[in-house]
Amino acid sequence: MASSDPSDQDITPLWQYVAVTDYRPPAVTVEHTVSTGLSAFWQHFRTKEPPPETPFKTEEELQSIPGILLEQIAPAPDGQRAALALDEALTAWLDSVQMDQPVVLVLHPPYGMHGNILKAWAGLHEWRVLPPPTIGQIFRRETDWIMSGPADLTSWVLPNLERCYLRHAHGLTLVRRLLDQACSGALGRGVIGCDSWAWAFLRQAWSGATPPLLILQSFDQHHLARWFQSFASESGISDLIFRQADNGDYVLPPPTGIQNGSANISDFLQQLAAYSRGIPGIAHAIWRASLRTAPDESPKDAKTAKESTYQPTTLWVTPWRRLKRPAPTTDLLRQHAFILHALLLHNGLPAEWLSQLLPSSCQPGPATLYRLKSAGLIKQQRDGFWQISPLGYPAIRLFLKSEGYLMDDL
Amino acid sequence: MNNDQTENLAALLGHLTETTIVQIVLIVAGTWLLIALTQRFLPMLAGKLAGRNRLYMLALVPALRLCIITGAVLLILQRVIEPTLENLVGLLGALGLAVGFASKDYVSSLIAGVVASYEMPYRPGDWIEIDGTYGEVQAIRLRTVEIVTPDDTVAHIPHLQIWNQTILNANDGSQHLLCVANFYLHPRHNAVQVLKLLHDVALTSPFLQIERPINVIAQEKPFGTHYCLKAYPIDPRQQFHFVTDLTVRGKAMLLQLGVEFATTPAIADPAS
Repeated sequence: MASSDPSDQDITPLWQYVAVTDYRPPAVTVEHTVSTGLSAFWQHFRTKEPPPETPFKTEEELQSIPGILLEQIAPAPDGQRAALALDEALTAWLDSVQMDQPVVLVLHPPYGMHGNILKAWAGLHEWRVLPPPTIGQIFRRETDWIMSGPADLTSWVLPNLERCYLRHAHGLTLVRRLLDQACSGALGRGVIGCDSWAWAFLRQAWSGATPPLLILQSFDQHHLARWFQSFASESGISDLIFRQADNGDYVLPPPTGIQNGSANISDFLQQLAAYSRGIPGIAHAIWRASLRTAPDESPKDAKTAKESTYQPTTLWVTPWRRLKRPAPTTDLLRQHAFILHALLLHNGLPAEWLSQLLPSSCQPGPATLYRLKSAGLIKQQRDGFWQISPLGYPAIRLFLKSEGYLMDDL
Repeated sequence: MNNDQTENLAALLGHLTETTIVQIVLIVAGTWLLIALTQRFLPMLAGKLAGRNRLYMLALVPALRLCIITGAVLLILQRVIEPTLENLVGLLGALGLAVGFASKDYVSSLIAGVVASYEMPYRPGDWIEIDGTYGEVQAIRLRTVEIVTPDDTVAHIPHLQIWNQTILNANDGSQHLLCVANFYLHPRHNAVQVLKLLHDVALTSPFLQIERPINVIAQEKPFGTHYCLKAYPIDPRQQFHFVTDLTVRGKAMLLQLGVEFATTPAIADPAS
């Protein structure tokens, strides 16, 4: 995490790749913890009921943002800017003529968007992007899979190493061979992207020397504010204001001259940064889920706004304590811990292969998967892969950690 | 027994008459009858009840028997011994001696419980074996340690076992409990390939506590090669599922590899 001083935030780059040892997930500040704790403690001694809060906007007054509008205000990140940051971090490696480090490994936590980022980076340098092997090739241990493409394999990018193995006795040969070849320089120079959970397992399964590791630095509340603000600025919608629905506090700093003297800055982003562990993809998903609009305050595009009387558009953010997040029971998590852990270690799996990796006593039938889906813990992608949901990830991670399962280092 | 003691006993029992003896016989007979009745009818009554009430009714049988015997003994003593101070002191002394002998082990278990609380040969959550009984420690009581066996049977073992029994503790207060899966293979096979395969079988088990070491030990035996696959489960309570998973998947992988399993040679039929 970059400096926590807000004045430094404009200097710190938004996207920054660092060594794993320098990775710092955002933490809730001591001041915030103490003030929240004291406030809760004070509530025990109040003799009079506090005056009823009149929310700025009740839930009934607000509605979900239409999909098209949401895509404008909080679009899916394309990875281009992160690719530029990765390029900067790789400059020294690219410039070196020595082949003692033929491979760089770029780690990303779940929803770290590494596939898109590495593909965008490969596009910058016109390096070849290697598609992952099929699951059948992994099981059949077709170690010559990587050589099946064009012969001039000298500079390449493998965006998803986690798609090259399975936690099965027959699912490790291919990835071990690949890593051996890549790290020996036999395949030329390459950049490998890997999910942090998958790498936590692979470093136990592969005994080679770890190549240089890079990771996208976590986003604290200031980074999130700048990131979300950049979406809003590029949305083509005239001055957008993001306010918390219950008290009107500003979630993102308002444009100059608009701020109402009585409104404060909300701690929503601080909570979001801590809950999402600074993982941009997860924070982004929660941000999209939290946005609401009032029917009579529909956003206008910039042209319309200029023609009419100037009126900023307000988007309402669901207060953190009212935001619907998966709250699974410990029993549910314990019962299906193997499924959730397997999905994390592979960054998603199709149901039929998931059952190959689990013991016969906990086979994931369709009913089990849909139960976990209805609890908001997993989701099915278009390609049929089941994956941990971004909103469910923090709760699942916390549970697996408490139960002693293998974890990533982030 | 010396002369003084004989005289004392004679004085103590000197007032016994024929009537008293008849009364004692009747008391003994009544006691026997009452005990027989409770032992016969209370279980019958319990059979008509359901659930927890049945168990309460059955538990009444020994409690009632104790009450009946205590009552009978008091009635007999009242008739046999003259209630003077000396007689009562002598009686209570003898009673104390008898109770002391009877409760020796009880007291020993209480003291052993105190010792166990600071020496900690077992803690709740440990998997221990005492005198052939293996299970998870559920509770440590004043006199006994309560363990649940893999067959879901609760065993109460007195603490005094720690004086002279070996206490085997598989995880000793930690989450690390070593499990072993055994494979017996025909001696003609590629041992290096099997070692790697069994290692990967353990590595890919979802039950595995991956940060602990995995070991595969091979030993040549007269009937074949014995492989011990040793690894740690995430939770000691999963040890049996873990060994089953290792065995099932290990067997499947070895069969795919084309390795034959060792079999006991058939014993020749003497008649043929």
